[in-house]
Amino acid sequence: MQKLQAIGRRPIYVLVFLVGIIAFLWPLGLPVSVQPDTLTVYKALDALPAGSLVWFGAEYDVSTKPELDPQVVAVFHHLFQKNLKPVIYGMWLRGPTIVQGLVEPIAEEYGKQYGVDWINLGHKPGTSTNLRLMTSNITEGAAGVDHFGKPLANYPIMRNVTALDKASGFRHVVIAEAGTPGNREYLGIVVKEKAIPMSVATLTMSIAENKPFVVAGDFTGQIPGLRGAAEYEYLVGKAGKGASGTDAQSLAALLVFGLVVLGNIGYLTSPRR
Amino acid sequence: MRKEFPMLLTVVAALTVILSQFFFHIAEWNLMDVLDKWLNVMWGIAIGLGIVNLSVVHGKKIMRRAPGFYNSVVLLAILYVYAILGLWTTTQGYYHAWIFDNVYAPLDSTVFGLVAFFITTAAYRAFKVRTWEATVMLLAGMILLLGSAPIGEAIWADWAHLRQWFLDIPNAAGMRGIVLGIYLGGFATALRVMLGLERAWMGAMGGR
Repeated sequence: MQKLQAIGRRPIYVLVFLVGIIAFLWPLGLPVSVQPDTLTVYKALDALPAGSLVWFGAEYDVSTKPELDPQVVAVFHHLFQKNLKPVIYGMWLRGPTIVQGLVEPIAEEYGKQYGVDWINLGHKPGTSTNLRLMTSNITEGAAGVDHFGKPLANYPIMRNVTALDKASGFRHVVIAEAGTPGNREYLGIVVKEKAIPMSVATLTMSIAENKPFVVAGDFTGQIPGLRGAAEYEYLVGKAGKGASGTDAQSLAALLVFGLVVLGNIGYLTSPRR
Repeated sequence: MRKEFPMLLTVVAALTVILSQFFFHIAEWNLMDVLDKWLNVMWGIAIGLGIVNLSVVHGKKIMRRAPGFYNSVVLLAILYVYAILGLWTTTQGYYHAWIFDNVYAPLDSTVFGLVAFFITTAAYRAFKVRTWEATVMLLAGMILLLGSAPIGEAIWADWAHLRQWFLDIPNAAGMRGIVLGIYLGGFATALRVMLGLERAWMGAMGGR
């Protein structure tokens, strides 16, 4: 029994690998209940009048794609279903490029036209200082061009948009974030100074850190990790990688739980404890 | 004057930001916008300085044939080739994007993916009922672990609700304290910089 607390690293690595493979080959399809955090985000976006502008902060990179991409996809399905107009921007270098690749097929599915129904301002250097510039002058903040380097003046969606504020028609901010710069910058510059509500699509490991801001009402809500993606997919009626990804999460959680139980049995039966 | 001038600049910039935040009349002067634009320019300069610094440090290593100098060769080669490619074809260019998507992206995802393996072994070793505190940590960890995955609800229907309560009440209370501490610490440091008590940011010139 005591040997149970001395399982080597290698067998555990093999088990983690196998768990991932099993979830990939034979999906469990376990049901996911929708939790209040995700539901609040859904309701907030659902209540916006058609045609409202929604600022989308693409604040992540390739390392966190597997967890954040399904959330982004589910949110954009919702935005286009409600005829809302997303404006994508990124303080992270690669964020807008990643989101552009995800949004193009969704926009096509809903017959949404780039530059008319949605736009990507791309990444602009300067992190929070540039975000602040966006709240007073988008043309200056975006250096006058979109993600593809084309003048913003060419796009009908930008016709009456001067700044990231309510006067220009922005009713909500959603950010998909994997760290700094991220929600804290938006909280100070956009939520507090411009009084635009914000929802956060976040990593599982950031849920606890963001929670005080959700409870205090600073964030409208947060879509928590892959589970949140699965919940949002259910709400918008579009099953995707969130639902399938939670299978791997389930098996991994079960593996960790099992290993912890075994380790503790070994520890408690050890005469040297 | 070498010390005083940077300190004076710091005080003026800090006061501009603080006063713009607290007084509407000063905010109307749009000094923050001007500072933001300056800061954007300085970002660009900082990147240039970083490249120069990196080139000097690793260039010396290569010249001296220091141990592992070939790593420096690879680093500088990638830095300049990729930067020149980006300037030439723009960051949206096919080759620039291809290298990023097929070299950097898989490497980055792989490193992040490895965390799952380390966390599993770390949880197995760390979560032991050695003390009361460790037992509380173990229970909290298990509640959040199984509550975050659908398997938790498959085992016990209220597991997700328990997790939600745990996040909303004990976690939010604890995190709020931590966050307040961080911000108070940050404020105290900013105050020390403004008053000239903290000079480490000036490097060797700071004097203390």
